[in-house]
Amino acid sequence: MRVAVLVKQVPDSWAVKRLRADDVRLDRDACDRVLNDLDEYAIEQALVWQETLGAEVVLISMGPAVAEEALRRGLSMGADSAVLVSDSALAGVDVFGTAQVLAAAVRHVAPDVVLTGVASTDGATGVVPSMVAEMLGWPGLTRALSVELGDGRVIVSRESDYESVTLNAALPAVVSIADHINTPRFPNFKGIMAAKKKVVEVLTLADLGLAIESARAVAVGSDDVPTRVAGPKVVDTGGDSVSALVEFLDGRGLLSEVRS
Amino acid sequence: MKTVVWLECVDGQPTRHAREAYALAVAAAEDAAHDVVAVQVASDGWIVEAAADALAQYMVESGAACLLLPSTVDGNDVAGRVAVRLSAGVVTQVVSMNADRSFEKLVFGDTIKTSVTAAGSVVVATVRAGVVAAFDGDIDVQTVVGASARVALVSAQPRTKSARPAVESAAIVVAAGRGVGDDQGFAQVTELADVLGAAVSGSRPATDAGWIEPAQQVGQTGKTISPDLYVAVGISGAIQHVAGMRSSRTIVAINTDAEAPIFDIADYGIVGDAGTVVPALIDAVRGRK
Ligand SMILES: Cc1cc2nc3c(=O)[nH]c(=O)nc-3n(C[C@H](O)[C@H](O)[C@H](O)COP(=O)(O)OP(=O)(O)OC[C@H]3O[C@@H](n4cnc5c(N)ncnc54)[C@H](O)[C@@H]3O)c2cc1C
Repeated sequence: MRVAVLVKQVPDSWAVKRLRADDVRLDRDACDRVLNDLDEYAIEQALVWQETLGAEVVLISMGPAVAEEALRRGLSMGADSAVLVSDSALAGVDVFGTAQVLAAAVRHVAPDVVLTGVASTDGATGVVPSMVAEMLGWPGLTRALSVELGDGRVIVSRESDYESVTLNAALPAVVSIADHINTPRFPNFKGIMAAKKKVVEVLTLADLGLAIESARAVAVGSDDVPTRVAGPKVVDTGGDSVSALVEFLDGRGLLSEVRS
Repeated sequence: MKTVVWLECVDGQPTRHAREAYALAVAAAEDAAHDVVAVQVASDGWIVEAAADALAQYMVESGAACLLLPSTVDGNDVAGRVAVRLSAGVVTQVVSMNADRSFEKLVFGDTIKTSVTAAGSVVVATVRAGVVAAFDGDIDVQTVVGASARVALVSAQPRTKSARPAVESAAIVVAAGRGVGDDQGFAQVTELADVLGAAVSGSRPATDAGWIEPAQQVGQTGKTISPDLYVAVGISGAIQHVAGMRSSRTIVAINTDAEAPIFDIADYGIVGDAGTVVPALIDAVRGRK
């Protein structure tokens, strides 16, 4: 049983992000880089299967050479090995190209199941898991709130905006893991030491037999959204602040729906 | 040029979010040469696979150049799949659309607005909730049938119907954070919401406490919304939370910690205990009538 986990190195969530003026791409050099928080839930789920089912856990990422640091973090949590697709031709690739590369890397690793986070915290599109599944021709079950394996099948429960559903599909499949599902472990000292010796296989596009086409969706311009200006901050004593707040809300016409 | 809009339905009725996507397409279609077609999908399987299947086929047959979907959980999944089938660019969470099929979207927690254009003959885009008024005239709808080939739908349960407005479409949202303390504190927040005619939302700790469902949560892994008024009660203003509500038109924060980051983006802040301020506010709002 082999589980592949798709992970991404992203700017630290708290970093102020800027787009470069010349090519409207994220200035990654200006930010600290970390493993995408949302991928840790997928890694944790894979590690549960490593413990309970003896699964082998392989991390897959696409990114520049420094993305290896994010993979080391996942390896120190307990993943067995990692694959990094790194190629200068990948700079500025869009989600379509990203999904193509990841799908090719998945074929290379040949897992029984692929896990992902629900989204990256930088691009935040959340479409990559479905796109990878579609490119592989595998079932794609996203935003799993619970996931179980058995008899060559995967059972997932998920919530859409309007309903809760339970889904069942044959493996191999792609499953994105919601952040409500578990609490990712912290790497311990032993894990960090062990991770230094684990293998990170670095592949180019040529190794995967892939040529990247030009981006299908391109950001062509950007503007800062004006920062919000903080309004009055009133210290309350025993509820004495609320009448002024009600006046403020009324002044903005926000109390038209009031019910008793 | 033709734009197709997926009319996501609940109980056979197009959702408000879907009618917003339709309104955006209609507004962008500035001349008669630009058609907008609304399509709904019939299926007894999993709607995501069925809709991807049916819409991809419809796009090819109709020669349409653009597919718009609501940026819901299912809309997002369908968008990715159709884009792959059509080898099309995909743009998520757009807030506006132009006649030339270019879009604007907000990125990095709504701090930057970008313009995105699609190369190639087809583009797929999801439309963020609340960016335009929902189309409320009659919509001429085509129904297509799709199959869910790879995934079996074991069970589907509508989310418990609430008499309150939905988080993504409410004019006013009252949100609870860890700082409301306990079930009783949360009950006061819901009472405030009811008095204001508001939806109830919250931060991730509110989901973890079981006060709200994941689908009601606001933030990076929840909804991104821009209501007329957002009232944050006992919410610190973590970056992952603010990413989902920064574009609210008016923000009010109630928090005991005068240094809480939520105050930096609040139009009106009350430094105080939710357990005192919320009941007083309920009385004051009621008393005003
Ligand atoms: C990958 C990832 C994704 C995430 N996604 C989301 C997301 O989608 N949405 C989200 O909300 N969070 C998300 N988070 C969590 C986020 O980082 C914060 O932890 C969370 O938003 C904090 O919620 P909070 O403000 O309710 O709680 P806290 O940060 O604990 O703040 C509680 C606040 O209540 C105040 N308080 C305490 N007592 C009172 C009182 N009596 N009256 C009034 N105020 C009081 C405190 O001063 C404090 O400011 C995510 C985190 C990660 C790592």
